[in-house]
Amino acid sequence: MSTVIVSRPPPSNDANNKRASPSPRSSPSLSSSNNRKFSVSNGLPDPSRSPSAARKTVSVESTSAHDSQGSPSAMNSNGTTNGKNSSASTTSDGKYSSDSRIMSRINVDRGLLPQTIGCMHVKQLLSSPSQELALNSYRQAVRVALELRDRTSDMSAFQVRRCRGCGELLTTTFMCLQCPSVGCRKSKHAEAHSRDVGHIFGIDSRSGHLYCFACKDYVYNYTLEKIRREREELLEAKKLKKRYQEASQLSADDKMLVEQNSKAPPCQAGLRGFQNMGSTCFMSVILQSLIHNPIIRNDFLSGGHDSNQCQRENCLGCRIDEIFAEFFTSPTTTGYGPALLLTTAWKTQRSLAGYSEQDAHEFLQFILDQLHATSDAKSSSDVDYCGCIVHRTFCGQLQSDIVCPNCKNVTVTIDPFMDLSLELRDRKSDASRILSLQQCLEKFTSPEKLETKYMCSFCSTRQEVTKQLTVKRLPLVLSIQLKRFEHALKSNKIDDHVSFPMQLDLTPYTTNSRSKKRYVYELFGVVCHHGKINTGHYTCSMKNREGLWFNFDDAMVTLSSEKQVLTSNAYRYLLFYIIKELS
Amino acid sequence: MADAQIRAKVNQKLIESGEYERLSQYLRQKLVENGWYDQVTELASDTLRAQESPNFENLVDLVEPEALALVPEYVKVELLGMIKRFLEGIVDK
Repeated sequence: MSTVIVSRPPPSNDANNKRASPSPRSSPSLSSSNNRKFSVSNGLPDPSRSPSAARKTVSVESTSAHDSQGSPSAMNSNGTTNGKNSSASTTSDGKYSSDSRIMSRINVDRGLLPQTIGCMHVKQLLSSPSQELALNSYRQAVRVALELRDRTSDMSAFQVRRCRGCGELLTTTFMCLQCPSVGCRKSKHAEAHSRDVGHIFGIDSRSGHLYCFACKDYVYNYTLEKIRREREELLEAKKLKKRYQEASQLSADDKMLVEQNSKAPPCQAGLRGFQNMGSTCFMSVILQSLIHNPIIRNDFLSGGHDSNQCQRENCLGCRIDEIFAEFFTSPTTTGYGPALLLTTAWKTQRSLAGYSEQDAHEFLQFILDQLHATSDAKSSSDVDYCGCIVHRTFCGQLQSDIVCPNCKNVTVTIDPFMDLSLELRDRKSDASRILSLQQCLEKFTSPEKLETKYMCSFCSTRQEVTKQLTVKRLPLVLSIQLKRFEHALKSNKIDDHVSFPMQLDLTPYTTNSRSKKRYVYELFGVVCHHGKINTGHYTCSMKNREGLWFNFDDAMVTLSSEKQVLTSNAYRYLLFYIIKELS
Repeated sequence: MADAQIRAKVNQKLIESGEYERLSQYLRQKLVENGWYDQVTELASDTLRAQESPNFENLVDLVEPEALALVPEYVKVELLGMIKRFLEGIVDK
């Protein structure tokens, strides 16, 4: 390696500069730039110099390249607070890599000002004519050190770093900045080299940090540290890139496998009609209400009922799961014929068999009941606290307060409910006075004098008690049935139009109606009935994930709108509201 | 001489099998978990703060013995055990 002479520092009494003081052999006439030799401390030409352009090659075959040894204590090269200011390595533990944290702590404590950081030896070196050479040498050395450090199972990497004095492989060593020498720290071979030859700069063979043997300390220099950091970051980036590439690298076979077995989801996933298989529109509308129910949909699509694993016979949960899978993955847009679901339903409940029109609300109750029965998540205790998705979605609690007018005693009962059935007309009068959903709910939750007298257990008298229903616990999805079908003397359909809002505040109908917290719900589905009571037709309107409304008439699906849904002439039978935060 | 040869062979096996790296990582992890790392860091900082002309060599001379003593017994035992098992695995080869 060629050497360069640096202008010698002025003689001083500074203890640290002992080596820099003129020695008998030093020649005051050492010129700087012409001679490509450099040595700082005592100006001695290095007798053991061997010119080797490839001194610090990365390739390990070259024996003139520096060897060094990894340190046995994992801490040494990576974690220690290296002297004044060299930081802990940025690579291993993120926690211990904060340069500035350690640095500022030390400097603040010692009251050091920034200009006194680093050692004067380095400063001199880097302001001398040999600075370019020194920087290049440092750059090469850092590259060797950092690249070898990653080769943890490569014997030759350790060989490069081994101490030339004792041959130790597993200990901290320093590569000389000015020659190919490598010496260990523990047995002081590096120190000996610096003393004997006057090369006072060593480079830690694992971290690349600079060590000044004159100062007996790791030293910080902005330029050098920048070089070191750059190399470190470059290597980190390479490693990261490699990791990404390896992770995402699919072989040609794998790629083909993925392509052959994947299906791109259709654009309007979940939007599809049902074929009418003989007055089955009452089923279609209820199924659509489940498909567009965000909570039910999310549960099925995320594997809430795995039809591949389920062992039950005639399992409606599996049928629904299959429908969800079909609707959300198949690119077909033509109506789906739920033949399998039908047969399963018929096997489960005979009364569903046959081709007569059934009641959609009854079917809703049936299917919710079946989904609960076939759920693995159901609890055997009270339904109000059942863990199945159906109860978690639809089940609320009604509180009934019965007040005795005599003693004012209140009997409180709490019952679970899966939907609310609202009367449209006063029982007594035939006149249609109720016009809005809110009025129906108000009627439902207002105190009512019961006709039959009850025996009050408190005051032991027969009284005409007052009963009031309020919603104690609201379900996430509130299903409302508007009781259109009277089964009094003759079955009658009540045709009254009931207006309803997109957004409904249910707080006034709850038990704690004066609560400051507002329980606001949003409409997502409407089931309508057309025609006479026994020979009618069901259609529905549902809101999809993007907030678009669609009309479903068996297999025909058409784009609708909020306005259409609210103002259409159809007779609303079932309404589905979901709590606003989840809509 | 035979000693040195054996040593070299052992080192070679140790490094090339990846065991050296595994042991180092394991030791590092254990020392961090145990709080040793933080203890020694604090010790080093305190020592540095107390020095008038601080440098690395002095620091090592002052801190190293105590740091070594602070390593918990069970860590030493565990590591020695692992090394021993490794050696048993490569002997007779």
